[in-house]
Amino acid sequence: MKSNEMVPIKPCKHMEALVSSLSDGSLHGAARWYTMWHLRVCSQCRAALEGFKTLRSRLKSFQDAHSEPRIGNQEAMLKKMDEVDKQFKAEQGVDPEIKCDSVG
Amino acid sequence: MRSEYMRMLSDCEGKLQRTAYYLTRSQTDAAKDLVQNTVVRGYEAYLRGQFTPGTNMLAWLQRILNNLFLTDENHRKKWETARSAEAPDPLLAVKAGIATEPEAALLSNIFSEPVEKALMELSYEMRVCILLVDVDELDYAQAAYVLGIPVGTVRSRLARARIRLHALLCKQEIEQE
Repeated sequence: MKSNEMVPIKPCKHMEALVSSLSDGSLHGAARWYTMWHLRVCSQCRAALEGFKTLRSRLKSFQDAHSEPRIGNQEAMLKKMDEVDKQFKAEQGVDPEIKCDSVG
Repeated sequence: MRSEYMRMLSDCEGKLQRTAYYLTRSQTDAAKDLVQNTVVRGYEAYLRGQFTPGTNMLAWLQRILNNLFLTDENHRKKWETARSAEAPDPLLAVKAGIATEPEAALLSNIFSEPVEKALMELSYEMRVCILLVDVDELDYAQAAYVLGIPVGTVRSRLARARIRLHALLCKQEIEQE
C-alpha cells in the first residue's frame, strides 16, 4: 500500500452514509454520537473516514482549479431576457424596471 | 429588476456553468445552452416573484438548471430510443450524455485530470450529488431542494457516490503504475 488514496473506502455497510456525513461535518445529535462510538471500535470505518476526508480535499483542489468559467453567448441571452421583459410588460402592464424602482 | 437579478446572478453563473459542463459531459454548446436557458427561465420566475429574497439564489437556480437538464435528457432519450430502433449507434448515447459503462469509459479518455475523468464515469445521480455538495458546497437540505428528493436520500446517495468516485480514483492510480 503506497498511499492513503490507494485504499478503497469500505466502511461497514450500515455505516456508509453516517461516516460519509461525518467527514463533511453534516452529522449531528445522536447519529453523530453513535458514529463516533462506532469509530472507536471499528478500524475499517476509521480508515473509511480518512478516505472520505482525502477525497474531499482532492475535490476541493479540483474545485479551486475549475472555478468560475463565464457564460458563453451573453448577447443571445440578453436578447432572450428582453423578450421576457416585453412579455412581462404585456401581461402585467408594468415595466420590470419601474417595478424595480417602486420596490427599491 | 433585471439589474438586481444580474447582480445576484454574477455570484452564481460560474458555478452554474461548471455544473452544466459536467452534467452534459463537457458538451460545451449544450452546457452553454443549458445555462442560458436557466438564466432566462430564472429571470422569468424572478419577475413573477417566485424567488424568496434571503434564500439561496444558487440552490434556486441549480434546481431550475437540473430540471431543464432532466427534461432535455428525457426528450433526448425518447428520440434516441426511436432512432436506435432504426440504426443503433453507441456514440450517439455518449454524445447525449446517457452513456453506458464502456461508453463512459471511452468518453472519460477525453479528460486529462484524474478527478474530472472519474467524475465523468459516475452516473448522473451520483455525479450531481458530488457537484452540488462537494464542489458547490451546498448543504444537504439545499441539495435535496435542488434535486427534489428527501435529505436522507441525498445523504445515502452522496455516500455511495463518494465511495464509487474514490474507487475510480484508486483504479486510475493502479493503472498508472
